[in-house]
Amino acid sequence: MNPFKHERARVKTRLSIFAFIFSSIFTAQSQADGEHTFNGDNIINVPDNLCRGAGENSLNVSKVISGNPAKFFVADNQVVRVQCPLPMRAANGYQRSHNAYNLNNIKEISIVTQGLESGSGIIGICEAFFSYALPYVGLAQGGRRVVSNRQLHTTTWSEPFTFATNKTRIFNYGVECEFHSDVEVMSLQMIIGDEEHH
Amino acid sequence: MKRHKQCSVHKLLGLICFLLGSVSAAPSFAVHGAWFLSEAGMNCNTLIAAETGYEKFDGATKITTSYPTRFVCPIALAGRQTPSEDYHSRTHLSARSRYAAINVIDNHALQDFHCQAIAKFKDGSESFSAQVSSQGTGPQTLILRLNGLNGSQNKEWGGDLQNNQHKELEALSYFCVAPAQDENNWFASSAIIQYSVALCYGSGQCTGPFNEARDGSDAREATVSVSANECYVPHQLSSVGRAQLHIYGWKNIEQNGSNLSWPSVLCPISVPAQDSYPHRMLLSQGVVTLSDPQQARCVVGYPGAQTGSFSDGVAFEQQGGGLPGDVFMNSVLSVPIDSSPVLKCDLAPGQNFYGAQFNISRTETNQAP
Repeated sequence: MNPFKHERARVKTRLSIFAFIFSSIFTAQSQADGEHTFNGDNIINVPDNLCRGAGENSLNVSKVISGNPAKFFVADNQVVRVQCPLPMRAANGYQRSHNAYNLNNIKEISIVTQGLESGSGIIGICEAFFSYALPYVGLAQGGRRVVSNRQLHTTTWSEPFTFATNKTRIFNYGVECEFHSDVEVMSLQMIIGDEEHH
Repeated sequence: MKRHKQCSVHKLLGLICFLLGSVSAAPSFAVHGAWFLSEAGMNCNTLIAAETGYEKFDGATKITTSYPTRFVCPIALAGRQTPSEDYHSRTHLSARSRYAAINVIDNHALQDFHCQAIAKFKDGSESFSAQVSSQGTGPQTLILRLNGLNGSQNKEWGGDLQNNQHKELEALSYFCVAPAQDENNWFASSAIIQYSVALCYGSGQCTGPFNEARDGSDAREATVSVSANECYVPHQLSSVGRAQLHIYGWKNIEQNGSNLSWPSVLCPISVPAQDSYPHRMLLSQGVVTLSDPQQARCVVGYPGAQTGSFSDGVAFEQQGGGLPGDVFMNSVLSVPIDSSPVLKCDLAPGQNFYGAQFNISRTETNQAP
């Protein structure tokens, strides 16, 4: 028996075992990394009852919260201005050394409203907006959208956005609406892609 | 020869054991159990906006009414990255959780807090959890949901939310009836300090303990923007300067007034979602942008869980650099896990508050909360 042949066979067997073990380790690690790779979207469901009165009559905006939705009541011949924030909560579970989100990755912003008075027609106008540094303060708006009185009217801003920006400092942002009829803000949502995988 | 073979087999087995041991001993950062989301107590709203008898000056909601008052405390369901397997399905938002709680101070000798969770689902339906109540007086944590360590002390949602927690979630809030101001204790109001939920990650397991240490070794600080319209201006009486929310932020619309009557803008800071494990946070490099930085009067702090009073405030000052109008934090703020940071700025006549930005870091990820 050739001792070198035996040794080679033993080494080969060991190498196969090592290969098996290491491949198992790397398979397990890559599966784990698969969980760790956040390449999905961030769906930001905004508490709609955080919407609040804005503008000159902001102190007189009448708001009632029922569960999660917020109802806004408008006196005859009056207009209420409402701003709804988009709290861009960051995730601390992985590397984010810069902004919580890159605004270039916004895919959709939508607000769902429901008219509370009878009849049909237009009850308001909404617009998504971001104010940011130019370095002086500038404003990017997503376009004005008409809101009708129908049940569950969804107003959507989607790509391509006119306000797409990678400005590193954003100040006041969200959706601003002007209503001339009683309305309930049912939900507000933003879908934004992960900054590191776009 | 046989002995030699046995020896080789033993060596190989030892090596395998060593390697398997190394794998199991490796950091388990790749497993994500839940996202811990917390909110400042000042985010709670009474059901009717015009209702008075509560205040938010300290970042908590303090109740000063002579009758029990109803509050809704909403949670911003943001900052929960989707796992790759759910990338296309987008069905991962549910009310499955490991922990849900409200930190309150009950200062009424006879009345209690009564709180429950309200989940609103994509299909338009709503579900309520069972109700929990405060016990006696003093600071306490009302537990709505808890995965205890090793399965002990488990508390389920209860109510119809228990059976519907898997449904696709649109909004999650806590509804509380808070005790009135105790007429025998006018100096101590009851308060909601902070509330939180640890929502389970994706569609995977949701059985681990809520305080499982899973923060990744790559978890670093995040930059957090504070939008002006997340802020709140308490009790705008005619005797103090009035502030209005515009598209460029909050502005004191008075043209003059003493510096004792500047209206305060209070901004809850939306802290990062923490990966499975609630822990203390450090706030640094905070910057507030104003129209007139020379008249800046801003401070960042948090309501203390024991007292409800604003604690450990860090002031802002002009330091040069940055944008025109910037003022900067002059030191670092450490925020405990049972509270949430709040920015407070008093606006001089004509002053405009545009917004703010902070770096918020993870710390103490491997220590008990």
